[in-house]
Amino acid sequence: MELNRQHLSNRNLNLVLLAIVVIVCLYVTPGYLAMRRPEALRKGPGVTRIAHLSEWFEGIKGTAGDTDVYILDSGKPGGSALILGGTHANEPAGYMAAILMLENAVPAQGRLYIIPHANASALTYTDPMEGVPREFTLQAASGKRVFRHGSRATSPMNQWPDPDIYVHASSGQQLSGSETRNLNRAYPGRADGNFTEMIAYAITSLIRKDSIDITIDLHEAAPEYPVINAIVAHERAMPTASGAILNLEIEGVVMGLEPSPASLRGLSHRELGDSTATLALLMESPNATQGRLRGRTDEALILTGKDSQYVRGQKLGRLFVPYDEKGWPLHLRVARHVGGLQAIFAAHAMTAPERAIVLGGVPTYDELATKRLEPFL
Amino acid sequence: MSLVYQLLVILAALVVLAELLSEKSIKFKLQAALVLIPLVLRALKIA
Repeated sequence: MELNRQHLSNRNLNLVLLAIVVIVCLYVTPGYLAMRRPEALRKGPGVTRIAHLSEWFEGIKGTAGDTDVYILDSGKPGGSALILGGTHANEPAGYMAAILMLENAVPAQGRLYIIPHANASALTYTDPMEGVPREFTLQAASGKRVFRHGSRATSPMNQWPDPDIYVHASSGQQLSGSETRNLNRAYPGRADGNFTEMIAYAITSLIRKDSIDITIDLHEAAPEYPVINAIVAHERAMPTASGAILNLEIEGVVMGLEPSPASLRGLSHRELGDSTATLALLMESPNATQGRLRGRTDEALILTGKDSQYVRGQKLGRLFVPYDEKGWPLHLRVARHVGGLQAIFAAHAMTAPERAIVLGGVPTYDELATKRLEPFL
Repeated sequence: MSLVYQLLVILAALVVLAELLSEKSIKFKLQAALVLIPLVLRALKIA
């Protein structure tokens, strides 16, 4: 009798625990799946075509890596440029600058390609150990707009598990295993490689097939990271980058210039410059949300960049960028990227006038710094 | 995630489920239930 009671109680407990497992799974599933819905972006007046990245490499067709490519063609002879946002989906100034460009720019000369979410898979999840928000909201001129905040690397749903050591295919360089899902360690990519390498290969193929003159990869970095508020340039892109730095100085924007290290492989500014004819550049702005010194990580931190721990870090001399109570708000970080892009195009027009890319409709650095992002989205 | 890894995760989930059902200790049952949640989500390719 006693044994029967125990058996019954054990069975009931099993049922309760299994019910809890099912309820928890059902409760969290909609949140995870919601992050996979494509983000609604406004087609700007300059957009002449929206393509899929698989147009340049069929291998990623229909996958989470088959991201949208916005083409803004002036119809007039000139150069061509590719803007990459969202290589790292946890660096919002990068993809917000790309979105702002595709929603506002109207090319007067040349052709502009914009990939706002270069690693679209990385936008479909957040790192469990980072505790970052999944989205942030802006009260834009076109209405309330919600933008997603993702992760640095490809989703494990698309590429998993990671090896202990990631070996960069073309150089043999060894990195931590988690870097195997980092798009900016996968260039130039491989047609028969892993998922991230195939995305990199598709972007490299676009640059080769469409003879892209300039490629600019938009990033952000933690304030304690030494390469920050800077343009990183492949050696062939140095004259253009130097000219852009001078153009920005005239506008009162201080930007550093970093040569792309020849020994650091897999990065866009190194591999795209080496393996294609494009002038490869990368820009970095300061983002506290990525930093190890940060305090509370919420939507406000993404938007305002205000963090008392970083103010303290600045006083202790631990940062590579000025940091005070005003923080580094998103609109200022985007302004640096957008201002930087225009400065690069102006410098390129000086060195190769027949390959110029001239854009209208893009807000200036000062306009973005004073009016913020909302009027332009 | 390839089919092979998905099958491995399903296998791991089944092992943990068997542990949950056969274990006598409430503490270990609870631990098995907690471990089962991420395995189910990964096996179904949700998270």
